[in-house]
Amino acid sequence: MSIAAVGVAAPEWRVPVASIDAAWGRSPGRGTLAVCRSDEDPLTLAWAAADRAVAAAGVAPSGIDGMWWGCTRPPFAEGPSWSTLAATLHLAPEADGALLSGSTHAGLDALLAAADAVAAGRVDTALVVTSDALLPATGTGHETSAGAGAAALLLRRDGGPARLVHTAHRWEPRLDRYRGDREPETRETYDGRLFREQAYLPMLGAVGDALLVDATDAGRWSLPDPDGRLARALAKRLRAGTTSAQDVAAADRTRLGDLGSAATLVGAAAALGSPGPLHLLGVGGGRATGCTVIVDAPVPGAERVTADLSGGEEVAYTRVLRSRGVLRPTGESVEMAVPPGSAMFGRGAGEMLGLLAARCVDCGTMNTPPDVHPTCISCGSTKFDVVPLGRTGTVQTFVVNRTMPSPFEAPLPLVVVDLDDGGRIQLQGGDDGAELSIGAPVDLVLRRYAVERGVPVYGWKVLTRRPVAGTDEEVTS
Amino acid sequence: MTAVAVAGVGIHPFGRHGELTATAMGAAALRDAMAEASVGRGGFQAAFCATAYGGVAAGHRVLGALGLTGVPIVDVEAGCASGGAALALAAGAIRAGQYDTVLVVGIEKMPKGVIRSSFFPQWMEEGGLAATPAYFALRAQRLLREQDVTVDDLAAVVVKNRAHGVHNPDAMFTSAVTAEQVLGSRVVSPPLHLWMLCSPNEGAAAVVLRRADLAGPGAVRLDAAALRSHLPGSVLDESTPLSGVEDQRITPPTQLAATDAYEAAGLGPGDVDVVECQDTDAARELISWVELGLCPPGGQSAVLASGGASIGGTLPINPSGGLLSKGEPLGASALGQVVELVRQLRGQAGARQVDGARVGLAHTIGRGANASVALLTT
Repeated sequence: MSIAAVGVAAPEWRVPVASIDAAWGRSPGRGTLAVCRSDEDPLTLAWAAADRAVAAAGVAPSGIDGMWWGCTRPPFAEGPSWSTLAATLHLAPEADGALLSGSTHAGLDALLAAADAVAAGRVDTALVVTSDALLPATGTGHETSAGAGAAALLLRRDGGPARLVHTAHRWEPRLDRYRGDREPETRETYDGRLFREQAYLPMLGAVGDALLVDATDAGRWSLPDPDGRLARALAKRLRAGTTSAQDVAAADRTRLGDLGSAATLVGAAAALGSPGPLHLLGVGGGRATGCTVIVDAPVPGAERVTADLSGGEEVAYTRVLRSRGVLRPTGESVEMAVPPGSAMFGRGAGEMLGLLAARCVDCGTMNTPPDVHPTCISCGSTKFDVVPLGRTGTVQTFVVNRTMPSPFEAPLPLVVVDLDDGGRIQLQGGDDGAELSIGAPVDLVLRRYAVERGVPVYGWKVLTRRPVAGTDEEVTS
Repeated sequence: MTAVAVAGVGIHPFGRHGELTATAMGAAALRDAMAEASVGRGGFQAAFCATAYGGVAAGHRVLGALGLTGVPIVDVEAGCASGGAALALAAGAIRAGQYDTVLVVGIEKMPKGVIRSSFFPQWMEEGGLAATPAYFALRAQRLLREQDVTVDDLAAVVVKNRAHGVHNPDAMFTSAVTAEQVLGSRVVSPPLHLWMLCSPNEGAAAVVLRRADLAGPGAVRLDAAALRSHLPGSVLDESTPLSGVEDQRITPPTQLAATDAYEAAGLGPGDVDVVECQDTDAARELISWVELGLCPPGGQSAVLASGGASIGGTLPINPSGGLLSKGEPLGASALGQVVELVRQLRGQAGARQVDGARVGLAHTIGRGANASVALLTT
């Protein structure tokens, strides 16, 4: 069982922990947290990481026949979380897989379930995705620890540059780290000292010891670090038996915050770029699991991990509160609704998420989405080939709205894009639109357009492509 | 074919009128138009009522208020071109010999704030893709890039129209503004500032059309009333579907309607003396100049700088003050243009009179897309 590629994603925004503490009159904490804009969530982050892993592997998405997604906050409490992600990635229609949730252990659950399916020969190429972004209650301690991020791995039976070699497990029925979105009470049920002494250190310590039995090199460790202190204690314990153990996840924790079920793989991603053993530990829901990966050669995608996580734009705490809907303008708002006739519920949903077009057989015009164009908008023909459109294009025209009725947030860019594959579509911009100009090359990224009556609505947004400092590459952050 | 004349016009001032209903405003405008035409009960054979927000059988309510029901009454909705569409239907019926005299009335009482339209699929609204001023701005951005128009030119359009509106007691805004004030107003959707956008509001206008041979000597003639919609694939006109081919290759609906109107009237752009054209936003007016054949692409700046489009210039445009001064009550706006042009051609426009005006052109473009062009002569 081998790892063929890796990809990571984090939101662009970083809020300093100290600025949150300052707002509540507490002594300032250290580090920053990655926080979602109002149009980002665990699904959009999962897409971004998976898209990068697939690109790094150089495989056709239709050749991916399984996806295992670990996430404590799947966007639909009951609904098409997994299939929405699959549609945006163009996975094979017969793809196998599962959505794993329930605790922060879900990330390791996804990795091992995918590895088992590949090892058993049920799938050839499996995508492992872990992502998380919780919504802490305002003013709680969680607010100074909750981060956001995602990591994805592409697994194949053999031939890859890294191998999964050992696993170890422990369990203990503890109510640990239970966190409801926007939930202020649950922190009272979590006793930090008990968690540390009775769950985190003993279970992960035992798992680590089990991995070291077979290891030739104590090497590097990716350790979950929910509060920013626990991993240091665990590393100290693991180092007792060795001299060289190194916590490769610590830096990410300091910059991104607690990533929940995504913490272990995000923390390990950059380390997949250099040979040697790498131990991944995950914890949550009264379970601890570890696995050892032997990196024989740099894993494709690992080389850009640091850049993809380095992000961002430093934002004020008030901006974060606004994006979370805590700070709301008074006054007039436009009631928006997801009606039964909405494209997200209709036959067009898959077409829009998959960015499909109906290419007119007679005149070549791209009609998109196909479902709302029974006849060609140009020549009236009814003969089409349905094709996926690439996510690159140029700006035909655009506007950055400086005022928008609630629930929309100004500045809101609207962009008409001429896609390189031929369609012309109108989409929202994915940032403040400051870099937009007519003719500029752009990329489409998956974002959440709205949440109505608890139902998230996803679609593509436009970001200006810009050169990455010190490289010949251009990427969309 | 039978020629058509304007026997009478009437207007209820455009603005905000509190509890006054659209029906009452329509009745007031219609009463004035019928008085001018000396038409009473039994003196007409049909009525068309233009409205987008008026609800079911709005025309019946207006005529009912005046005790004039019994004839065929048809409501017409074509977005901002609703009044132009009603006018085209009424004129066509007279030309065909179906009726001698027809009432045309446009009424509207619009909600405040962003115009919401059932034209868009709901998911476009929920996705924030259907915000009205943004559409105008998307178009304006292309105009600025392709036709050497500047933001200062957009401000100059507002200054011109608001200067005209000072002399129009039926307008919502009757104060002159400076370019500095326009550019100092809040940016809504760049390059458009708040004052570059017309206000959705309330009002009514009415026109009585009659067979020219029955209208008496000297009556203003309606030589053309054309209505067109967009050709398939037209992307950046009033309607913006999700996809399309290059808009540059496709003739816009305004140009289609203008071509039809010029041909029907046996006139060309060079014959026109005065114009009322759609200035929903300042950029829309400058686009319309070109589409109506009144100005070459890129020539707008020079016309504005020379004062050519102002009253006293070579071709005064929007002497009423335009929608930027009057506001835009959708169903009433196109007929309001006809009222203005009829008064201009009769020499009744007072301080905003365009001297010697003999040919007037009225133009609207709106959601659908729909475009109407009417040519009036004396």
